[in-house]
Amino acid sequence: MKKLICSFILLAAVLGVHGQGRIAFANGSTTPITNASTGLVISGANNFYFGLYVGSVGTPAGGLVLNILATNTAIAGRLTGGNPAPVAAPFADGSAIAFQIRGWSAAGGLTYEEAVIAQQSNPNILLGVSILGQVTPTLTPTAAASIFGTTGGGLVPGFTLNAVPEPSSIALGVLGLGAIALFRRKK
Amino acid sequence: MRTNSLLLTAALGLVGVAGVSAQSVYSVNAVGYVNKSILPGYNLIANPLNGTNNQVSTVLPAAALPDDTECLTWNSVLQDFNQAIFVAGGAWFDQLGNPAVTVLAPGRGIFLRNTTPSSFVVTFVGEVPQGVVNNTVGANYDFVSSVVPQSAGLSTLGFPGVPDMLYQTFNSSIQDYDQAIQFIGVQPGYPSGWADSLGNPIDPTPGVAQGFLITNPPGSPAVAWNRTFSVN
Repeated sequence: MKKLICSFILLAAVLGVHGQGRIAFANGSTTPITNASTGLVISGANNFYFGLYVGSVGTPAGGLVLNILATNTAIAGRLTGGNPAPVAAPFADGSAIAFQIRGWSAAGGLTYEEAVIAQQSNPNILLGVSILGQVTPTLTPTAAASIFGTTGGGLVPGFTLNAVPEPSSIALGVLGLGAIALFRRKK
Repeated sequence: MRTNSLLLTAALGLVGVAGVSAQSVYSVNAVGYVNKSILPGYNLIANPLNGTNNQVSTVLPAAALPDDTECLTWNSVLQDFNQAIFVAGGAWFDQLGNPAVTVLAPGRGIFLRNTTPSSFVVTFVGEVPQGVVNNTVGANYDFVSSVVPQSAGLSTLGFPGVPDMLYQTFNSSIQDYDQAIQFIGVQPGYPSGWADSLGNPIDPTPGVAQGFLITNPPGSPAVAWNRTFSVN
């Protein structure tokens, strides 16, 4: 029995070596991304970016930071940032996190905040945000945790990209810009 | 999880005639099929038969699977799953939306994810691997299975247990791994060398088309799992 306990400690050691939390940053046919302008699911590979914004559980949307960047694929309505996709530090330890997925036209830049600004002068740029979700990234050898879903609590169903910014989109952009300005000032 | 296996035919096939000597060469090929029930969520399974090319599109034809079915294969070098492939519109795709060409060779454990609320059955069709069959159990974590479609204890299957190695099956009903079974070495009271989590002797018996997780103790190298098998 003592040996068995030792073995489980060894197992924990192996787990520790590979202890980076991973999520499935990819949606499916029941959780598509839609273009409000056309009423259809998005299409055209790499025409859009999707950012996984994360923070500690309880963090409001404005406090979430970009962690993983994704693009849409050749399959209509789909995006992928990897399945599995490792969550970067400081949220890499497999603890529960709050998250929100933000999407924007690739022409808007590499972050959602840039896209919000770009939309002021280019109304063709689409923006959209998901509901706030919560997930516990899994460690190997368990399959990556889903963040898209239509049944589980804390999971995100599909969402829509809009040409007209929603008030929440503008607020997120302003908050993001504020954070960047503060960071630069401190630097 | 119910597994039905049936060897349909033991086909005696004339595969070639050796030229000038006119000496006939015969091959005994056992072909058949295996049905495997896939529960909602993740299922740790394995391809039990050799197909034409063992590519996912031939081993698990997408036309027979629900959209969003996912397949995860393990990368024992990276110690993580390869990028998942999935079914969309009756075809397998990789994460970038390209047709998937993943190979599902007998002997490797794979996760098949059923994203519907109901079970479905997959049917593997192909040839029973015979002769010297080789497999490798990688260092650290690896997902493996018996190369041949045979449900028997690991000791019968010639599995190369090493001290402190752990064996775990995945329980699709609870979507978690079952309790680990540990190799403690063949000794009195432990004829197979394996002990369950309570220390009782046991000979782990994976089913046909069932994959399982092996945890090699830290520092332990990959081990070869070779055996000779014949249906006769």
